[in-house]
Amino acid sequence: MDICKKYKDLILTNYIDGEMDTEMKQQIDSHLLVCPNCRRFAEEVNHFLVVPFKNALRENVPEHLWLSVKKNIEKENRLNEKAGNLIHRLMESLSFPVLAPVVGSFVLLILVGSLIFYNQQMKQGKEKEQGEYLVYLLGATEGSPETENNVPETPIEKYFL
Amino acid sequence: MQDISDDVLIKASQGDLKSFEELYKASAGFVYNVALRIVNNREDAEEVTQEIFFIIYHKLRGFRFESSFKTWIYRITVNYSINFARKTSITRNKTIEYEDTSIAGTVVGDVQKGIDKEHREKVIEDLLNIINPDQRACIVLRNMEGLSYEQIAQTLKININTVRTRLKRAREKLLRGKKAGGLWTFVKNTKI
Repeated sequence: MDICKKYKDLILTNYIDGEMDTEMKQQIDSHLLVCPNCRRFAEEVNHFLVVPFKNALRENVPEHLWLSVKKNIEKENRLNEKAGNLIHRLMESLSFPVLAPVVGSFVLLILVGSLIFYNQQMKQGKEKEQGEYLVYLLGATEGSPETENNVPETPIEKYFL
Repeated sequence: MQDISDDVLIKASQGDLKSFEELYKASAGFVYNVALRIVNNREDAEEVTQEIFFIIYHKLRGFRFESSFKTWIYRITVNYSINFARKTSITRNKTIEYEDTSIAGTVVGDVQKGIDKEHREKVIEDLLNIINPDQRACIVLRNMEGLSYEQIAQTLKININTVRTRLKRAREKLLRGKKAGGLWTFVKNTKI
């Protein structure tokens, strides 16, 4: 790689930004003393690309900016406060001293009612099942009219049975 | 940027508006100027500065005092400004074309009248318009705010070699702009 090209790349970055170790800087400085082309390049870079930005004026912040920022923050705080108040009121209305006993009693009533209803259903179901089973047992011991009809009548039935 | 005490930071993070105003006064100069150079337009810079402080007000609640507040505020400012500049870059590019052609004719005459603040500002504005927002951020942080490569890398959360590459490409682009004519003649004649 051409030595001038290598140095020009470094001049464009680390050299003019002062981000270079002493040894390397000395090498480039020595090169600049003997190479007018690279020296001109370094001067141009510094004059046109570094100094204008370094000397740029710092602008004063417009006065009205803080007022706008403050206004936005206060507006948002008010909205948050309103939303917070609404939630707070909702929570308060549901709080213990006022509605809790009523809500509690209602929930308890529903629980007890559903428990009683469930027990009754279970009881009825069991009784029905037991009755059906008794009928089945009685039928089995007494014999059903169907058994009498099982006597073979046709010649084929007689042959097979 | 002026130093801000931990006490002010803590109170501001708890929503104390008075402390936040103190924080604003200490950092608004930096935020506004960096935003101005990256978005390269005064009206946009005002809008961006307001937005940045609104973001800072909210994010401050979650700010961990482990990292430097300065780096944190640099990062928010630069990232927000770059994103804003990217969004508006299409419009901006159209403006550059117009300005590049107009400068050659008008500026040389202006130089004879003398160099004033407005002309100097015009040079900076037109130079920054040549490069993209990412490169602009590196140039601004290095040449205007005086941050080291390491500090720029930390602020932008990028590799130090990326910082170097961005600076190199930005400067090469600016050098190529030399051949574009008008703008460079103006920079040369203004002897900044």
